[in-house]
Amino acid sequence: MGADPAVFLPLYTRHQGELYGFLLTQGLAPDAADDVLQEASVALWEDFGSYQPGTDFRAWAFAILRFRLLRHRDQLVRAGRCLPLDPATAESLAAASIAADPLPGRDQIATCLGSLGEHARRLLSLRYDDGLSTAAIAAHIGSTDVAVRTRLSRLRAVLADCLRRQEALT
Amino acid sequence: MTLYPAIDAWFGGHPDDADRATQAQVLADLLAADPAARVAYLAQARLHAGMHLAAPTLRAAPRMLRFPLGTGVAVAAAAALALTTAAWWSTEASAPAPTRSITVAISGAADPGAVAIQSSRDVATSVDDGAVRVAGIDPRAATAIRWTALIQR
Repeated sequence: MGADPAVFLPLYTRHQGELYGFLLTQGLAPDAADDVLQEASVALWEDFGSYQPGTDFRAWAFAILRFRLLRHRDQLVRAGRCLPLDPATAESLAAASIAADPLPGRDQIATCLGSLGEHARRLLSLRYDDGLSTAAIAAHIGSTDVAVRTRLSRLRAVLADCLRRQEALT
Repeated sequence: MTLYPAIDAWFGGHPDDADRATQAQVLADLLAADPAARVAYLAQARLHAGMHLAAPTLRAAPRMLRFPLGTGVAVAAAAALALTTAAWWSTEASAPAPTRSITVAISGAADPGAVAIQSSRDVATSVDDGAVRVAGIDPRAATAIRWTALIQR
């Protein structure tokens, strides 16, 4: 290894959450996002010598991450494990996500979750804290997959509206 | 499955579409055809991602940590992990303090294949075919373990 962790780590940790969040917005399940981020982290570490100090680390890191994401998608498509997005659509989604504002933060989401009822928070917790599929949630609470998806969709609409209102206040 | 966030985010209101592969294909076609759909989808995907990042408690599902179990992984990993974990949490200044203090050490220098991960919490670990499986560990600690492995290898 040629890079200095004391130089690399502060840059990397500042953007690590954003890099991971980007992968989630691009259609990867959390475990797949973990894997791609890990592969990208290796590449960032190994290629750190090509980074010019003082330039935009975020842009440099995203360029490498996007390449790794593309390669991951290609592997899945070849294995028949996913539906291919056409390249222009994938590129459009990636560029829009990188250019967008930061993802909603914990504090904002916690505030909005506080306005929901206990049952709604439990449903969201099963989905996001426990990472259960909607089918697994349905089995857990004695409902149907469709009903769970519909309920989650409505809850996310409520949360999105709440987050927009919060953003307007700041 | 790709387009993961879309499955229940975008199609939650379409009870007639029971087949997820069909749903994802419909969504892929829609995203390719309609810029407005891409904007709407991305808004949902961002909320979905934010929810995952904000998840405050442990995940129930076992997490697979894949890294080579070379000798470098086993040596001095604990110190690097502490540094990395501190750095990681320091970037989360607005987040609540971690509710669980997790101390992880990676040992096994005598036998690179016999890596043990110890934690202040009870976690289930196993080593099989060059991979370490850790169940019930904070996602941020899991990230730190991954990173530590990268530094040390």
